Amino acid sequence: MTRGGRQAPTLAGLGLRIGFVAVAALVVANALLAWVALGAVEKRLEPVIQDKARVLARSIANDLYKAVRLDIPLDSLRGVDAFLDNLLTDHPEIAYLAVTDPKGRMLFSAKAGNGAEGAALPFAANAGEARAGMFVSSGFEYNIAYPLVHDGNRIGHATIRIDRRYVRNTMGGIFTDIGISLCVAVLIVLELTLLVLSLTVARSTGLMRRFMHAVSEGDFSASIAARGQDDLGRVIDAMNGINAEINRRFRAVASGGSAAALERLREGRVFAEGDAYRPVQVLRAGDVQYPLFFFIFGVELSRPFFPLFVRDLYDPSLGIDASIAIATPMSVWVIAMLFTTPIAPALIRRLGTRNTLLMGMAPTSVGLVATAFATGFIELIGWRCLTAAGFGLVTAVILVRLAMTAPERRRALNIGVFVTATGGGSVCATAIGGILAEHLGYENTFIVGAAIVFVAISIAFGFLSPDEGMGARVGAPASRRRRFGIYGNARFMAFMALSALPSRIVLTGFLFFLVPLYLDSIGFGGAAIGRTMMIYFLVLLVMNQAAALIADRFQNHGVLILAGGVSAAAGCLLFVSTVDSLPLACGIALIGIGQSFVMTPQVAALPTYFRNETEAFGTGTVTVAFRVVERAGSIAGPLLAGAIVAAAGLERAGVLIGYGTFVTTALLALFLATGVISRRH
Amino acid sequence: MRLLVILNAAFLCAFAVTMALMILLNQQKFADILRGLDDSRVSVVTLDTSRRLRQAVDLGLPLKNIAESRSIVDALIADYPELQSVSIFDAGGHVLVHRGNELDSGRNEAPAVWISDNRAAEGEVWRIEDPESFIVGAPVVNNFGKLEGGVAVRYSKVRHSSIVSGLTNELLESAAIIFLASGLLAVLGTAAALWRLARTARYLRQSVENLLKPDPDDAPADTTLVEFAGYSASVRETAATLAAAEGRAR
Repeated sequence: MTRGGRQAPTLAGLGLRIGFVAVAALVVANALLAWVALGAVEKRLEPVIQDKARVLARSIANDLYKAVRLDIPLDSLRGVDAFLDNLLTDHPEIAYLAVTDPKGRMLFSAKAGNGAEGAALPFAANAGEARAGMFVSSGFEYNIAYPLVHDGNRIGHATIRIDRRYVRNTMGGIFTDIGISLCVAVLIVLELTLLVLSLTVARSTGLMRRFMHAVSEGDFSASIAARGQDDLGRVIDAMNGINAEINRRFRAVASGGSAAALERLREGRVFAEGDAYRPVQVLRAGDVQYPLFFFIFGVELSRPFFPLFVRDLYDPSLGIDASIAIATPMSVWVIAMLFTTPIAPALIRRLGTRNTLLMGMAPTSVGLVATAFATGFIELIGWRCLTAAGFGLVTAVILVRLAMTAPERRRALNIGVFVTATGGGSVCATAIGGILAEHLGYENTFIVGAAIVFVAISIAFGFLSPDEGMGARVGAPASRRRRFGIYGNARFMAFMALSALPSRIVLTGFLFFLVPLYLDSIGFGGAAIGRTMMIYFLVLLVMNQAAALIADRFQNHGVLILAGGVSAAAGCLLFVSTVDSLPLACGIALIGIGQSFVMTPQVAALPTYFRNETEAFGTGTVTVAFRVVERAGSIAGPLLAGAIVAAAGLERAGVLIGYGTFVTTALLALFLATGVISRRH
Repeated sequence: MRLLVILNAAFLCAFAVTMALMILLNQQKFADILRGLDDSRVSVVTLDTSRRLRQAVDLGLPLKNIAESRSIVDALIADYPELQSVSIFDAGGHVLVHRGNELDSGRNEAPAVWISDNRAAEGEVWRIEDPESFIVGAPVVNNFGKLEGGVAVRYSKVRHSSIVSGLTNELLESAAIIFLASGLLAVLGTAAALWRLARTARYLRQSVENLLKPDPDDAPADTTLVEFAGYSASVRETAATLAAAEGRAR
């Protein structure tokens, strides 16, 4: 069937080529724009800097003139070098300042930065030849000389050199933000490429494959509902046409033919009896990956500044301590999620996946807009509940959808789709959220978040089938005893208290609550807070897979959980012990490594450590109990951290959380070593 | 074609948002630097004036009796036309000398915020802004540490905003051209990448359409879908069985 040299492009190859073209166009366009912007900025700032230098030269001349007026010789003045040094500190665009006599002999000078001591200052020597207040350009510098005149005689010059690289160096401060924005844009362009190809080419190809497979098995009763007229849509039309023609001819034969002839026709074949076709459907995990990516991106945009936003709305008249008040919306968020998560399967059964997703996404989007306009603390809590309720529903629906669409042996891979989408969305959101908050303000960043959630709504609405998932059975509810009995199991609850709870407290209490407040207290802006927090999600994205692989390969869940606990504790302690960027970033990375070592192996360890409990209560009940305790930790985390901050301050709270994690990890190690938890069955 | 449009619509949206963010970041950083430089320049002028007044005050004269203050202010207004006004006021907020645009608070009284900021400045420069101006001030303190009054220099926001909007306009114009060029590049590149897919789809459609034709076109039956072999065999076999049944029925 295949003619040489006419190989159809593979989807991966197609995605790679299109992605490369789009990313190249994006990077080149933005690099060009950055270059144009730098030139335009330099052009406009140069006269402003020159004006300022003129004023400064005149001011120096005036100051020196006060002494000269009293007939003190210029070269006898004391403290002029220190005076010039002070001026350099106040005016960073100045490269050097000098005072010369009329012959150009240097009397006093001060040089900025690491300028070589005693290096020649050529312009100063020729200052007398320059016209007063006139700029002379030489290489990368601008020079100006201002004459000192006494009784009509020129007695010296104040000379200033402006470093023209000042503009470039100062503008360089935004290059990090531009670089991060560009990286996020590249990620988004790649996601968009994969989204469009997945929802058009991959979906159509999947439908065609399933259709062809059915026909090759003799099933002519299928039909594909085509979505738009593109090249692949026309192939689908042609295939539908073939089936329609076969069925038309079958019905013609059936209406006048003998029973024996019909029997022969039906042998190994299925036709669309009565013109009723069976729709061909392909459920793919990727269909929900992209709406989820944009949804998480929109919601998490406020992650780097949310505690700071709450602090601005804090009302002391409520009688709650500020730290606890800041923590409350974060805990309320998890509680609100708990209300909507369990209803997801029932809603999917009644309304289908798409409509349930939209039911969750719409209030989230509204909640984000309303949060932006919240004028009081109580109002904020209300809107956060609405946003969280939607968030809980959406994440639950997507997890159920992924479980429904995956065969047993590919379930882990499908959950990987969830982790990749949430991880990617969180990385982009924390990086960009901080930058947007710094430049647009907190309120506008919430609105941008709502707009991005609206993109997710559009993707879900446009590309998911409305009836998909309706009537599906998504697990039977367990009996009351089976559901709650697990919470009375001492071994299980000890494991939860020493592993799941501390890891959630580190996540929500330390990372989400304490980190933004601490960074803000040491002078980090919104963009810098976002950049620092982004490291956690980046590490998590990379290390999650690695931790899962190591855990599966070596079956060493306990060791990984202990290593994770130590790493997270060390990260907390390192973070609050410094104000320098690099150790702060290392602290966050250690927390990320710790969390990835704990999160995946924890779940994987449950059936091994609690085999009796799993048999008695069921895998689902044990997993749900684990999630419930995790959520309890998420609720307690910010409140606990807030209470400690109120009592002991930010640094102390961080130190206590770090040592607390160390202690729980040590106890867990003791329990594991003595076989209290890890006894084999 | 539809795929090309969807892909490029998504790309162009991403390009536009990224470039808008780039313009916003550059514009805000530029505005900050410009404000800092202007502010620093006016601070030098203000501190100079405050020091000159202090020299007179140190000799024991009250601020209102310094004859030189009028000429100092006149010289400033003449030398720096971008200044909106220069005011010298005593510790109680009474304006002693004023040149330039009228104050909102009237000719004789300094705004309350000037007086409070001047009092809290402790010898350093203080800065505030109102809807139309940036204001830089400095206290005048005698050699016994007593606050005698202050100097306030106003300069217009219009110059600042016009320079910033000039930059924004230039960046927007450049961005529009770069956007069109990069958009064209993306469209052409995507079209080239999708051309092979379109060709394969066309071959596949012709192959499918040929299946039931008594005299198939001489179309290339080109597809990499492994399912096509079983599909075409099943269609042909069923069509043959149907043809036989139709023949018997006739």
